[in-house]
Amino acid sequence: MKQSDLSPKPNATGNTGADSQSAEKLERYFTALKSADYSDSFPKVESWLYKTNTQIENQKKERKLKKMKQYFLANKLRLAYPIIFLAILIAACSMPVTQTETVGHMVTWATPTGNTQLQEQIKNLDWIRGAQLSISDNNDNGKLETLYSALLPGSTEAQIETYKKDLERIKDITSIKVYPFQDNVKRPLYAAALNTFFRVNVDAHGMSDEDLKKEVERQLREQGVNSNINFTTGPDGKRNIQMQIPDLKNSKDPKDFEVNINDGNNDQTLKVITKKPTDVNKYKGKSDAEIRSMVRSDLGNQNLKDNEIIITHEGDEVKIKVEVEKQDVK
Amino acid sequence: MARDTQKFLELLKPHYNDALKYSRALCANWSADDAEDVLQDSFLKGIENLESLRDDSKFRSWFFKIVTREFYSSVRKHFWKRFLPIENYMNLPEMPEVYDRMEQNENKAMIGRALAKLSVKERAAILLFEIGGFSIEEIKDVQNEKSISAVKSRLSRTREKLKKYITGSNGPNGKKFSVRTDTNEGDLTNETIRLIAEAERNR
Repeated sequence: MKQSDLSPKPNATGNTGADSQSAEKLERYFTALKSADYSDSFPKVESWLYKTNTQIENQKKERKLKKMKQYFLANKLRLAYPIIFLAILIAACSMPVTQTETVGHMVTWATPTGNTQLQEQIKNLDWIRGAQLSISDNNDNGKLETLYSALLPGSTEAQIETYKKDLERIKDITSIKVYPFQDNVKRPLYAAALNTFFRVNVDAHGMSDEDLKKEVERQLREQGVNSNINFTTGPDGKRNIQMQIPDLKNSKDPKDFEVNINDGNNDQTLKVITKKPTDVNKYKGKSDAEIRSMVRSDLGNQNLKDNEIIITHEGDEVKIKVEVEKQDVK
Repeated sequence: MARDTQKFLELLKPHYNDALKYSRALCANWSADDAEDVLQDSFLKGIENLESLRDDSKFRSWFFKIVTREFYSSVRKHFWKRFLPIENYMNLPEMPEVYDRMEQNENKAMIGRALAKLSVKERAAILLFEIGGFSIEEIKDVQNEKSISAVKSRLSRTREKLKKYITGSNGPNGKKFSVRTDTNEGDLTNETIRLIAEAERNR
């Protein structure tokens, strides 16, 4: 292991004899040091090291626990506030709230009795098969008529509108009436909040305008919203959306929703926020500037320009149209 | 931790005797208890830092480096111990006695007294070379020196000093230098002697 010999060499001062004598002595002394043998003590040291390290490990754990305990004691309030806040939040969100919900509809109509062709036409309607149908004859001042009542549990208002149109198209059907069944439903607050809002997510990669239209319409229909959507692709490759939702203004229980379309590098989010008729009354007697300010506040978008909020007054009624529907996310 | 201890002991076993000899010679002028303290701290530090040992084949120089550093820090502790009680705060079990308390060997006593007159770095360098059997290159690494020549000159100077101390020739101040037999002082004493001598020479 040693690279060089550092043992002294005779020098020119004539002290060679004394030097070699002291060098010999030094060598003897070092040999004495080297001759010591402590190997026997290894087993003792080995077991001591195992014992000591176990103890050190335990002491470290104890110290860590002690430190944590001290930290918790010193910061009781700081730690308690978030926990209390979180507990209140969870409790509030879990608090059951009662909501009135339309759970189904009953559609009634009347037909002249004995018209088999008419009966056949009614039987062939798709949705009739899923309905609980009851038929009875009625004599209305000598005029015989057959009364139909179809119970449609779980049907949405949009579906009922379609069914009603189906019936209206059949000649000789009269007195079409729709009765919604409403029920009080208890659900936690968070579920209630989600119930009035939904999202439609579409990955439009590789989809044609027509396919995209079908997909968005399908997802909206599943949520009970009938819409008329048109997608057109511009020369810059960007899609333009035109959306008409006639149902929403007639709906008694309008929903807010968001349509997210991921179209390659061009993500688009379309937000639709519906207002209940009672909400519209609050605009009565307000100036256009006040209404615009209220709309911006309601939509949570202070960047809306004046020309994007179109206000029309029809007598006392105020109609508001917001034309910014497309929002580039990226 | 238990796995580290086991690995450390496996690596230590072949070098155990040399490490103990080196440690004892470093603390030649100290009591066996104090020498064992250096050893105990070296063992515990070795296990604690075993992860820093990248190559098992370098264990010997790695561990001797730890012993050397623990010795340096013990010299400082040794000095402060006179003024401040330094307690074993961890309350660990006492290390078993490994050094002989009743040893009577004139040669060992003589070299021990001579070694005590050297500076800590000189003492470590000569013992790494003589007892540890390390090369100059390895001593350079253990002592964190920048050049081999610094280690070479330190070794040569130290050997000369030792010879002078052993043969009882003149000390640095021109006075007859005698090896004190009652010495149990740290290197601060040696440094003080050296500085006084230097000051007298420059006067």
